[in-house]
Amino acid sequence: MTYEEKLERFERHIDNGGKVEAEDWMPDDYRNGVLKFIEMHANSEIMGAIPEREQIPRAPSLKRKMSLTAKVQDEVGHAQLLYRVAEDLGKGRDAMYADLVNGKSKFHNVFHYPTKDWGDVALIGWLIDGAALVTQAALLDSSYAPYTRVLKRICAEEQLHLRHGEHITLELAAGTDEQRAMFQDALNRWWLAIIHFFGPRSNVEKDLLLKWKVKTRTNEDLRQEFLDRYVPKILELGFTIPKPTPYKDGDHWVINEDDIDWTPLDAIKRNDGPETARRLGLRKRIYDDHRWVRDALSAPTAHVA
Amino acid sequence: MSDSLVSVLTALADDELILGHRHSEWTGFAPHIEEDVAFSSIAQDEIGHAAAYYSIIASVTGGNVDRLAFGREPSEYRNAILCERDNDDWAYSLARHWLYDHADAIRLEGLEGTAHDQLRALVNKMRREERYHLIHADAWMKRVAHGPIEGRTKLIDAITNAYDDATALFEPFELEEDAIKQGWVVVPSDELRRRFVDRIAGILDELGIPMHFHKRADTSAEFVASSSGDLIASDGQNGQVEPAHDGFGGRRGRRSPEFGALWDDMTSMYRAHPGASW
Repeated sequence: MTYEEKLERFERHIDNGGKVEAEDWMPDDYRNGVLKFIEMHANSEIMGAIPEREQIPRAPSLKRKMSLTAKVQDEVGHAQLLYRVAEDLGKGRDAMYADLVNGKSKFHNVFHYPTKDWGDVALIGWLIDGAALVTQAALLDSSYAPYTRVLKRICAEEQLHLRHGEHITLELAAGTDEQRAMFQDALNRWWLAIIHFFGPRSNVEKDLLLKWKVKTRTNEDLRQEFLDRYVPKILELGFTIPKPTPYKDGDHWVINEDDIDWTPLDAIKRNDGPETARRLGLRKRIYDDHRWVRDALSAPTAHVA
Repeated sequence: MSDSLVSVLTALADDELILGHRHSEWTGFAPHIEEDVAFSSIAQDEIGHAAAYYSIIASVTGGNVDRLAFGREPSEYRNAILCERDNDDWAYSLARHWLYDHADAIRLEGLEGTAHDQLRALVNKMRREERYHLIHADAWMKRVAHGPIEGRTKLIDAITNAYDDATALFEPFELEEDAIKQGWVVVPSDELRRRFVDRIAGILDELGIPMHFHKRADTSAEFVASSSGDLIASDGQNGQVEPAHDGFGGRRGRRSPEFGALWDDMTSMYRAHPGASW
């Protein structure tokens, strides 16, 4: 079979709703695209652990200290699962990790920002996890089957995280004036980043991942789902949404795309966000200083005389 | 009668809370992904145990677990200083985890016969969980001790650094005599320390790790309060008295410089919002 014939058969398979396994034939662009996509997802889970772990030491109750530790632990566990899926596409975990700490690969925009206090824990747990769940649930029907199997488990855990974040938010919303102000302040600082999280409008003509159904929905479609689902809840709790402020249009809560300032996202795409260098630097230092841990793990079981 | 019970429980709870806090500082940053997950689990267990001890205290004194955990002044904590030391590198954290969990196993074994029903039930439950901590710590000790030289060297240094502090986990509790009289505590701390030192010596010997630091915490040493209130170790042979090393005194509220930042971090959100619900 010629390459063209293989490609045609592959595309027909995808168009008919077929799935792809790691050992199946796939065009290089598909393999590289899926690898990069899952690698970024894995990187985002491990880098996403950092903003929240910053607040574990400060958790204001024993129950929350344990549950936040458990939550961040889940995120690290997700990274572990995702790196495994990515590995099967031809890039080793060590190589991916090295690329991450050396700033050669990417992770989601929201994890480039600083956290301040417990309001951030509420916001991340509710709205950022909520946003992530919208995008991840949309991937459950991805054409790359090994990814969907892992996503099933991840989404189940993310549902629990979402409830956790929602509870924390409700405690703040029903709490003292300072507690309410804490969440409002977090919302003011994070809102634009959440809107960016879904990315700019998709280029349906050129996006190979959409064409090959690795992704099944456009960025703007996912953002719309998030707005419709969460804007009413935020308003119901009595919080004020900053710019770009959504407004009601028929059944939908919409944001005028011209109101979105994309400059901060452009900087993050160059790995030049507010916290990028510091967080990657910390991770790199720990990675470099602990080569001996990896060496101990990879060494054959030695014997001492 | 309950003062000595509260004293013992406070020390046990504070050990678990402060060490759990330190372990959780690795969450998201451990040098290896699988270890990140493992240390987080252990941290949660330790913090959970602290909460359980505090809740027994609260049932005796009518207090509140979060206030006990986060609402006290630094001088009111009774954890061993070992638990509050900075994480440093992972070799130190591993050595401390290993030493602590062996000490805790010995301590819990000693508490199995406590006359306090609630504590006895808790001890049985914790012993099941702590078994897994030991399996984890022992496996890593073996792996690193028998592995490449760099890790082995770091581990030996780390054990040397942590060892004296670890023996201070068995510095007697305040009001220990009364706690023994009441039956809350069955085995005196000095006896537990001897068991600990023997057990660690045995394992290190099996692992082929030199034990030159042993002399500094001789099993016969007794710890007594000096006239100035500092703890001092008496070697019991020629009557010469030397100040105990700086890892001692935690059970009487002495805190190391590392504790200040930890306490600030751990309690500031709680203290800034009195009465708030989270």
